[in-house]
Amino acid sequence: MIQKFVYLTRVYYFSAAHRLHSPKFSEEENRRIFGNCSNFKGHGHNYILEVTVSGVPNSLTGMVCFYRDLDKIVEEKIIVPWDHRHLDEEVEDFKGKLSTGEVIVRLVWDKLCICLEGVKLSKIKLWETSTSFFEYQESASKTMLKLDNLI
Amino acid sequence: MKIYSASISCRIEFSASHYYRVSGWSEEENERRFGKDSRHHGHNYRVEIMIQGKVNPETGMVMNVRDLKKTIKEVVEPLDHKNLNEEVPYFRTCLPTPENLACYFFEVLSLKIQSARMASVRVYETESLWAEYRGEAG
Repeated sequence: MIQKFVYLTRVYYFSAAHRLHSPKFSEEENRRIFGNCSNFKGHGHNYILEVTVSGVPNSLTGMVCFYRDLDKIVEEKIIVPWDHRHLDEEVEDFKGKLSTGEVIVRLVWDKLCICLEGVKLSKIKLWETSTSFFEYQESASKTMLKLDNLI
Repeated sequence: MKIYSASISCRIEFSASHYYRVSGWSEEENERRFGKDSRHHGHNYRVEIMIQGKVNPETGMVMNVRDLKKTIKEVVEPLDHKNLNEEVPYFRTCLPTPENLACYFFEVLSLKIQSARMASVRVYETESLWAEYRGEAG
């Protein structure tokens, strides 16, 4: 019997304030590049975070992983430190970084990657508003490259 | 015009109950591992099926959506308003997790749909939990 490879997605929610503003640019350039996202006093979003992991479901539990274990990791690493915070002013993860959707998905990927055991991280998707989302996943070729390096 | 491929997706819903208990584990062990999922409860499941195939130049279709929906209904409807653990034979040997449900629908639909390739089955247990099987081997 073939081992079936299944993707499992879990959705998490956090609300946070942020401001897109780089010290490398002048005030005028910040306004030109980031528009109203560079508003001096900040602004915020209800973020929706989709975490996709994958693997062969365990023959006993029928699960790629225990959802509660994944929830615990995401809660601890992402939701608790980020929820109802100002990402740029209060959260260590964003020190020296811009809190754009692109940066956030990569940050989530890097933070979760090192915590997950026995399951593969497949995709991070972040809805910043109901009309825009950001995704990060490592391409197959990159994964292959990693395997080659191991060999 | 050159022959090209396209995909069709259909969505269907069903409501069913289930519980997660591994028969070899004690009640405490099941409760510890699965939490409240070890209790008998239910969901409104949503299933999204995607098929892929060549577009027939005569009909402009991969397959007739009406036929596809009929086939999907035949496969999914028997699970509606059922206890998945106890009333669906497939789940006598494995737990009715969204992962296994996705694999089940994929397998059964693959046998019934001849004119196109099954691309994926996605099973939403809730709005915040779903599993997808694309026919890939682990």
